[in-house]
Amino acid sequence: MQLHISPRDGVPIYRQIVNQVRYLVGSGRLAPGEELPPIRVLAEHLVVNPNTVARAYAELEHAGIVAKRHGSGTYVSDNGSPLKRAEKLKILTQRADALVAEAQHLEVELSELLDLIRERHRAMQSKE
Amino acid sequence: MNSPTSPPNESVIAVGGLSRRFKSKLALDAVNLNVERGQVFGLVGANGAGKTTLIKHVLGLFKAESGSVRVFGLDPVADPVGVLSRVGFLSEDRDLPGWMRVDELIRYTRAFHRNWDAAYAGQLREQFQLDPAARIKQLSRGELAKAGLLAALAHRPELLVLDEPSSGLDPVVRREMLEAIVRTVADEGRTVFFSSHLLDEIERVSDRVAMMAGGRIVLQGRLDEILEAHFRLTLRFPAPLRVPPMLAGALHTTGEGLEWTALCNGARGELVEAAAKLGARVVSETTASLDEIFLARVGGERSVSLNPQPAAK
Amino acid sequence: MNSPGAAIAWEIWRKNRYGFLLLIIFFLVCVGLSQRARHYSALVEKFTAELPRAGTFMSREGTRPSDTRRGATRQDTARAIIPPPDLLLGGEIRYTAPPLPPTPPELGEAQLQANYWAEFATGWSGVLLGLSLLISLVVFALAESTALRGFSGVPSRLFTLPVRTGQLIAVPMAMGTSFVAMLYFAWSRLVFASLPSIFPTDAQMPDGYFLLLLPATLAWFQTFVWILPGFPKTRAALLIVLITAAAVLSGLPFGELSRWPERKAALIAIYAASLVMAPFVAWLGVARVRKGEWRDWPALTALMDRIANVFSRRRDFTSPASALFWVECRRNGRLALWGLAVVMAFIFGLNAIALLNGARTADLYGSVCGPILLFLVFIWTPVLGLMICGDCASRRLPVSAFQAALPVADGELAFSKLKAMVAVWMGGWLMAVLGVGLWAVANGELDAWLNNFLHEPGQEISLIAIGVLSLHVLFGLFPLWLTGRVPGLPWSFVVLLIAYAGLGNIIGWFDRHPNFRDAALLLIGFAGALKLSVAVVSFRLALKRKLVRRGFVFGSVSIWIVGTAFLVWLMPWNVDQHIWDATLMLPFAVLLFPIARIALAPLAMAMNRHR
Repeated sequence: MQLHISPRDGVPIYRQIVNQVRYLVGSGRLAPGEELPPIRVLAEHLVVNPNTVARAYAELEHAGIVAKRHGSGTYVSDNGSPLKRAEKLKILTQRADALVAEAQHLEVELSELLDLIRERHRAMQSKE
Repeated sequence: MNSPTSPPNESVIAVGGLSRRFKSKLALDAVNLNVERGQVFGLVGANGAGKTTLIKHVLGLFKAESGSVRVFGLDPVADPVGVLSRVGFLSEDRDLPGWMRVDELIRYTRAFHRNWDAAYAGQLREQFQLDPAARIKQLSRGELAKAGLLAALAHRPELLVLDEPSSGLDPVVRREMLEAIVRTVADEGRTVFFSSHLLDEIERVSDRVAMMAGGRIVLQGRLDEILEAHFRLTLRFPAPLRVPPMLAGALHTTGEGLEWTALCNGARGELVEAAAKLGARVVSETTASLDEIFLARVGGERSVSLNPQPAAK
Repeated sequence: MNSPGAAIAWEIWRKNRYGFLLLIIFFLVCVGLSQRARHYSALVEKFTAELPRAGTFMSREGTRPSDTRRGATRQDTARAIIPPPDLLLGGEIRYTAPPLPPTPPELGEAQLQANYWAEFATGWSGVLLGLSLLISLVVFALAESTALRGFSGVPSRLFTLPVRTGQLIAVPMAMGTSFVAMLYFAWSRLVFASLPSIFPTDAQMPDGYFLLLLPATLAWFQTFVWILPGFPKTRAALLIVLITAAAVLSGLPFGELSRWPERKAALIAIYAASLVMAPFVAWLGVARVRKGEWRDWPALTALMDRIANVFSRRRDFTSPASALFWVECRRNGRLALWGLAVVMAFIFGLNAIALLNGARTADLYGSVCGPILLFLVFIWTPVLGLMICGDCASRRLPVSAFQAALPVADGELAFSKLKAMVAVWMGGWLMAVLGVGLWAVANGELDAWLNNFLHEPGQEISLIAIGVLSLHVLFGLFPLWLTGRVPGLPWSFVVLLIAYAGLGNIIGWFDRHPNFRDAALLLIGFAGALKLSVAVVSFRLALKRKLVRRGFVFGSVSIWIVGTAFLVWLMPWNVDQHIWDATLMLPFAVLLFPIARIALAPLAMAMNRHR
């Protein structure tokens, strides 16, 4: 599991872990039933406090993304599929927010923005 | 070795009202500190803030002039054996005897600790890539720090005290040291107390943080609470300001002209109100990093104008 | 500051203000002493001039402080300040004066005083002049540390200044050599001129000789310090050899075996040549060092490492105490023994040269045993005591944070130092005895020397007394040094010298005034009571604070009891020889074996470790 932590991001470290795991699950790089590394292993690997990793895992568990199995480890939840879609949309929502805010800032109209998106989509499709 | 029945929030280091004066300089000023079992406690401060002095008090190398120091409930000056047998220490200047070889150092330190784990020591030595036949005075800075850390870790101490473990080290060695610290803390019930002026490593591994400046503790608390309580507010004013705006609740304000950024602590509502009173609107709000919090709290000026105008006559 | 020369001069002054102050104090003290001696000898002349008949004054023989029965006059110099063991254990200053016609009491008294003051002043002047020269050596070598042995620094900072090499060495060398020459000249004219002559052959101080020897010594001292930064051990060895050679060469005018008058011209020429050569060698060497060459010799370092690895520790330690003992011995003990070996080798070398020139080894007994014994007891022993307390080169003697953070009691740290100190000291004695014995055997003179050694009754007692004295000096100011709050070499040395000299003078005074015997007894009793009460109080305090275990206390006290009992048993054997009676010697024996300082050691260590 490849995670990247940057302490100076302004985002707390546990939150970065949570976000990245969500992203990995949502994009399919973490399959349902796959085991997450134990807390201390991940902590050593990322060189962060194990309590931070524990907190991230707790939050992921609370959100239903991962589940602990009889003390033998933490695994990605099986009921991933509907969540996957919700996760995907959630990720895109964040990016959409950023795009809309930027457009507003640059004083670009919504219709222009939508045209731009359609055009980029067409360009990408023709490349494939 | 460890007392398995000790309560989880037992106080491993308890410093109360500690003051210390060196000739005319006040090195520590009524310091209160509490480190609980299983915590990683980071002590932040600029050089000369009093971190090393505080650490030496914890080890019994300084006697408390006023106030008290208790480690595992014992006074480190009155009972050095009781305290130091459970402590692993790496000093700031790594004053290991230069004439010793690495394997002699390991043998020597081993003689003092009953719970020395020879297998673990060997494993660490390989991991740190230390040549057993090398003389300590020939080691590079990084290897010297690693050798000192090995001597401190190999007896699996309940409390690990590190004074500026990463100072002067390249990023590779720094990472190795931090990994070793994380591994220590992942073991049940072991506590780490370390000082550093490198804030990103404090942010990575600490549970609790204390900031020191001028011998005083300026800020103390859980790291995540501190990070959540501070934020940066960027305000846009209708007209350019020549001097930084005075905002109640802002620790540090910087900027120029129309936009000013304040680092604040706590009461967000009040601040927005105060800003509104001055006619400004909030343009952006971000979390502050520990760096910025530290500079705001400890740095000299309350507010900095990026385009200072000559003072009006 | 207008020129580098002025800057260097200012720096020398600034860094060594206290050294210069000490030099001035020494000088003034000796001028005072010599004036006193002169006063009394003038009195003697006055009285004898008033007597109607000639021939009623003591022969010149009797007024000479040197006793030609013994060998080198170094021993006599020492005798004048620190009374010899037979005096300590009860004796009197003997004069080889022939039986005299009755003299008027004032003349007799004046003669006694004159003799005493002449000896006293000469002895002290010799020692203090020697110390002054040593201080000058250290001051002008511009070393960063002022330790007498094992310099930790060279003026590397100075070498990086934008000054030409020639200027950099010329200024301190010129200043140093002229300073030393002027120092000697002042002493010669103002101090030694007022004292009766101490030379067998010359009527007065051979100024020309010393005026070349001493500056040459300084110049070469500076040279060695500056050109060998990368080889501290070699440098230390060369410096020790240089100082010992200078000491021996200074003694040549005093001895009778050295064929002084014939050699004088040759030696002076040699000194002049070396004085001229030194700046060139220094210039060459410093230029190389500044370019970064001559910093190390990888092949040599590798070789020394291989040798050192043979001695590395391969077994585990059985206890913390044994680990601490090992560290203390290894850190400074080896260096001390090595230093002793170097000096002994040097002395043997010189005597070998004398042998080649036709001397007989039986004649050399004094010039081998004497210097080695003097060096061992009066120089090596206190330096060892001081070195064990701290790392050799530090100005102060604090325990390192690494040692202080080990889980051992303060008393344990102190005790390990004590054990190491005594062990190395015994090793040194053993080495000296074996060395001298081997030398005697190698020259086939073992029997002759043993006879020489034993021919005086009570000689072996004297040796034991010297051993006890050296044990006393070994402990020196041990607790004070252990506190880590006082400067190391060389200042502690000065304090020690003054303490022992004062003690010796008190003993000498009582020796000359036998009618004050009761006061002496009282004083001894008081000192003994003080010593024992200090020991008791310190041990109790240390036990209360859990600095030491009971075993340590019992062990030290037992050793003290055994040692003192042994000395008390020895006393009656010695009493026959001398006038002082047993009632004085027995209490005195209580004072000899150290216990109070041992008791204070754990408390001092606690002061060092917890500041």
